[in-house]
Amino acid sequence: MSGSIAGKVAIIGVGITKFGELFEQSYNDLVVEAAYEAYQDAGVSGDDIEAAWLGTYLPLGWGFDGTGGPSLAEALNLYPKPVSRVSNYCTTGMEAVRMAAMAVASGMHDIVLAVGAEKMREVPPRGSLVAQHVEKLHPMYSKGRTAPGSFAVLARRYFEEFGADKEDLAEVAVKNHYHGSLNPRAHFRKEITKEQVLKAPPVTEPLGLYDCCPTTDGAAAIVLCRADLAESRFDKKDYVLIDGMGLSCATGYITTAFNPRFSFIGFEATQEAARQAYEQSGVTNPREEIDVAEVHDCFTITEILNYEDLGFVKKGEGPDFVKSGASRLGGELPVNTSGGLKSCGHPIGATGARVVADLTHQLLGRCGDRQVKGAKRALGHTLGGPGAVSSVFVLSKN
Amino acid sequence: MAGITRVGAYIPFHRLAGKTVRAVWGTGSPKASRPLAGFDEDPITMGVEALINATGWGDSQVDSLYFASTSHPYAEKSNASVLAAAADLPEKLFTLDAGGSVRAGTSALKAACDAIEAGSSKTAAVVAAEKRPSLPGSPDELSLCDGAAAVLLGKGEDVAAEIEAIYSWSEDFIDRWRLPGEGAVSAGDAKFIQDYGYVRQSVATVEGLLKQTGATREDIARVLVYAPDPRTHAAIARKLGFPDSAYPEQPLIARLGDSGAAAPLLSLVDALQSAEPGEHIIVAGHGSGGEAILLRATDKVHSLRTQRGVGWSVERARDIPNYGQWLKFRGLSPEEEIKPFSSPSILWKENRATMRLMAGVCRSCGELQYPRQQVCNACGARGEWDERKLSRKGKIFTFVHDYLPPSPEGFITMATVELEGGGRFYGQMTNQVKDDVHIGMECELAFRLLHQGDGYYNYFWKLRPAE
Repeated sequence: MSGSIAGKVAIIGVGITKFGELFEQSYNDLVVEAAYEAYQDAGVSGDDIEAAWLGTYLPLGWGFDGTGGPSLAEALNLYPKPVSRVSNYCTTGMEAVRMAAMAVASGMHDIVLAVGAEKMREVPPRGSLVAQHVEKLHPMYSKGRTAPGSFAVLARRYFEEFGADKEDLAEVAVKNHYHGSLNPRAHFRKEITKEQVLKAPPVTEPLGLYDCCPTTDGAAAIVLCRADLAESRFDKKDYVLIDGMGLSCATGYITTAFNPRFSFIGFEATQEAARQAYEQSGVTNPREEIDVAEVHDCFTITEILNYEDLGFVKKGEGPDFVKSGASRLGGELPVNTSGGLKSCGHPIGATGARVVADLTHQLLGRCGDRQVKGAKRALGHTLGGPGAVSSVFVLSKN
Repeated sequence: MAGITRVGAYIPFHRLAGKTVRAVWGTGSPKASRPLAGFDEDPITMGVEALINATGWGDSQVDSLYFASTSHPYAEKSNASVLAAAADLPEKLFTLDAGGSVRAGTSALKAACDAIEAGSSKTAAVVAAEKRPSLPGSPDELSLCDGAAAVLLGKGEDVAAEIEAIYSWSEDFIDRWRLPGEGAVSAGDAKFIQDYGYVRQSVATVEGLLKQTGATREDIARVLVYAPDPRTHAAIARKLGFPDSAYPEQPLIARLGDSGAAAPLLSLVDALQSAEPGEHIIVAGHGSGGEAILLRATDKVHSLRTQRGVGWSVERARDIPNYGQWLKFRGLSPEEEIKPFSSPSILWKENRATMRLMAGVCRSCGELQYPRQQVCNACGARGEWDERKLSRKGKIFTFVHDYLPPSPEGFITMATVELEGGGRFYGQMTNQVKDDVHIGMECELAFRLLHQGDGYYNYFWKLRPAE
């Protein structure tokens, strides 16, 4: 029997670095900047933190930082506290938050820190994810697969089954770049037109350059505490509660595309993680009950599939949802008001923590031009592996 | 009497056109067109193609395998054993790599025939394959070609062409040669090697056979001789003095080019596929002496016509779009260094899955899983699997043209194919025409070289359009 996280854990402080090509900052610089912003937001110091979790996806891919808990303990001088590192593909940052929340919910700790960080721009040419797929992984199976390629096959199949096309995908890119233009911390802060998206060079047909998120440096940090201590011990009047959190591994990493049961038109991992989070939080009609969402738009097709897998709309209705403006700022359920992975950027280990931090800002009314007015309940989603694993959080203002 | 029971041939999809060469070097016949191995092909992969065309997909009874080539990918390490695994031959198997001469194909055929006659082998496979090296801009660039041929030998009622006699002789002679590591073939004085080498020796080879058997020129329906170019072929034919009708109207040397050790077997496979019962055929191999083999087509010879031969390949051929791509195909243009991960112990442990394409069928729930896990991903039962070979054909479920990974073609097409009989295969496509690829397209698995991770050849299966 699975329990529920609802009402047990509060988020009392968050920090997000600038996302982008941060050639002047090291991995440790990013970690420190995010963590200290979160400390300040929470009104605590490093001495108050009892334990910490670090989310970094693939340290050996581009540096040695982030291989274990000591990478975080060293950067923040958390000695000799329990600090651990987690990695779970693109849900990594969210998984650090989930681990931290479970430690609080279990009664083991009163106040903990979760940090997600990834330094992706310190690699030789053709480094990062392409090199991971070309030079690493199994010598034979899936050789030739890339991250955008493994989502493009879903776009192709989705087009086939539902008659959608590249123009539908472009709507996502245009919307998220608009949102990103309003977010001072976003990697890309320029609006783009549908024509630009459609004319961009192909990367993995049918996905073009503007259908893909960038390779980004960044970090985000979250301070979590026992919900009953948020006000009594840490003097917080406004804070955020975790209402539900789910995680699902629904297929393999290498074997997804060999799996006869994989539909290529959606992700069972997202559906199951959402089911867990909705059950804990009592959400029965997400489209009505969620006010703002950050979902995993690593590629434009993914955001459309997410609308459907998260239950905002039925399968096949994702393109109309974005075209109607429903997911744009001012729409009925604004999605990726940060700019999303597409425009804010996607430092893999940071992203999930950044999503939780961004939604915290939304629920506390701190988002300025991109604020969703009166947002009370938020949904955060990450997806990794590609489609092998997904994590979903439901958050609300206290 | 031992004889040929089945045949197969493989000519690469890609062709280098004379006009492509001429546009760069200003020389070469604009009419020339030479089939050449793609960047993912070598004598092993082409040999596997030809061998599978002969044996079919799995369940073969071959007990000895002879693999002839002057361009074996491995100088040390069995090449034939790769063919045996990929063609899913039984593990109780004699293998031999034969090389050192463009005569290796007919020499291997003789050795296999002797083994059948001696009773040490019941079903022998002889494969000859070449990837011939040439320098950019040299005449060889448009005269040498790549390809493979395979014949299965046995005894009894399945024999489609009986081997009635073989004549061999040896004479130390330098016509064309290549030292280890050299990227091109060298040749002696052109007039000397034609008159005293190819012509004189080929005549001696064929006449030796006639003398040995007592056959006359009138008894022979077809004569297939090795020659490095069409002119030399004509000179040999004149000197041999068979009626014109005994020689192919257009010998393979004119249609394809010089495929070295593969040439005599390719000519033989091609001839057998149009032969009539009762015809006598002579096929001769050349090199420091020669081999001449006398065959008689039986009333089963028409059964060879349905197997994939030269015609099947030629119909599908496509010109390489430009000279730069040819240089990349051949590794003659410097490339970014890529170091894919590999491990001899992984390749060994997973050999039945990766080379023989063995999937698992769960004994609890019947799920076919490839690659198979220890615990069934459908029902959760542990370790109870029956082995089943994936079927070769299927239809594309979804695909992508991906421009990110390094590739001589500038992109890689990855596809997931739903296989006939269950399971999906996901991998790179090969020999695809980009704009023709579509969901529902029929594909078949084709053995290819993926990369040289860890310094050795990593072979695997790709998906080739089968429409």
